[in-house]
Amino acid sequence: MEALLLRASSYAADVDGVIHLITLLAGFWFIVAEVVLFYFIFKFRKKNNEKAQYITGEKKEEMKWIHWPHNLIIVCDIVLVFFAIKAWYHIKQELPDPDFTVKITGQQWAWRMQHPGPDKQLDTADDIELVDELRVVVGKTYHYKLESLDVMHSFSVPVFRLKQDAIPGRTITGWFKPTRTGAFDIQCAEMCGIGHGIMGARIIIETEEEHQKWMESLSGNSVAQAL
Amino acid sequence: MASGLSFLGRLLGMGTLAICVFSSFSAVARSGQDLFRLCTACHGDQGQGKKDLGAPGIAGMPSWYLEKQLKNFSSGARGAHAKDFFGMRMRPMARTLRSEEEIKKVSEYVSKLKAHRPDSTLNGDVAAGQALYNTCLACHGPNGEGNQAMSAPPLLYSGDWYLMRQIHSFGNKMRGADPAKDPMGATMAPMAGILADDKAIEDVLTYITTKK
Ligand SMILES: [Cu+2]
Repeated sequence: MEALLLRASSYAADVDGVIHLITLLAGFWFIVAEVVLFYFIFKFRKKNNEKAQYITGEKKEEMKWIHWPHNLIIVCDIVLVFFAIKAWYHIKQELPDPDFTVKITGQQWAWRMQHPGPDKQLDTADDIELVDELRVVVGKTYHYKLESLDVMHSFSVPVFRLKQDAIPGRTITGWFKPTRTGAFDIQCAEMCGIGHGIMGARIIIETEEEHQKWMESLSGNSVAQAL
Repeated sequence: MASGLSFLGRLLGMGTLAICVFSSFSAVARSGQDLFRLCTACHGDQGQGKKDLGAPGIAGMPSWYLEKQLKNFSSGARGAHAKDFFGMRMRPMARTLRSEEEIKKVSEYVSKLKAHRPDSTLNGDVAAGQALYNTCLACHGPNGEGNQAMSAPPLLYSGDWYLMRQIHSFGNKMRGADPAKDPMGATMAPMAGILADDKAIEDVLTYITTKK
């Protein structure tokens, strides 16, 4: 999975783990089912002048072909659900103490990012607001307060393996911890109108020094010009 | 039967190919009318504007003005301020235009649409508005008809509610705050400050929109 899409958050590997597990289990049963299917097609191909029979699958030795895979798949499901809930609980239910909090507001069709300024506190005069650009420090735990001004949007950061719906009227709190520096995509993952497809933004993950320099470069101008 | 299936398969394949080729060709040369289709979602099928969506009338606005604004939106000179709700809606739309050529085409197309005088939604004092309008008149013309030489757009077709919003935007530094990015808007920004309060804005807009 990492080969397809970089991981940049502390929990990206957990989500990938679940996807790997699903792929592995579903892949295993897919291959088994195909092998059995083709084996039977071959075994019961037309021979001599034997007449085709109609099998209802009610005899015990016929039913075991249903029951055994069925039971085994249920076991696999339980394993899957266990690991899925474990990952989900860690990402969506736990809320580790934050180093910083940012406010992310979706609207048709842009993201407004409110960063705590040099005082590290949100909702103060030195907050830095950007449009379609979120700047965070690598290795720090962030809380995000997600809001929407109009319709439903979904804040999605593929490299974080994070997706969270933004619902008008609600403030949804979640968290992430970036683990690598770089600039990555943010996208809207909930159909929100004609501009949905181009409602993208960037997340810039930088070191503490870079972040500091960036804040200084704004030189007290709390509402920065975006892009 | 086998030949029937393969014929169907071939037909499907060729159809898909034809659609791909056709759509890529039509993407190369989108006419002003093609491009305008996207605008209609908010600005209305005639470009008459939709107040409910906050989208002003654009039909019949001069193409030099439309062109300039589309460029401002796509460069971020307009519609990139974090508090500019409506501007941020327009900005991604302007960015779907892929070249100056396309901006030009759609602007020309829209400028040739029949201009629409929206109904007045304000109820200010016309006489007070007329006195205030004396300042605006120098650039926007005695009848609000606009003047390209002064980079002043006509004031008659957008809707008074839109003009109200823009005067506020200029005043709040959401539009025309940076002379380097938007010199045309920067000339308007201090003018917006001349209007003392919402009452003054309402008066002057009532005067303009009730002009015959
Ligand atoms: Cu959206």
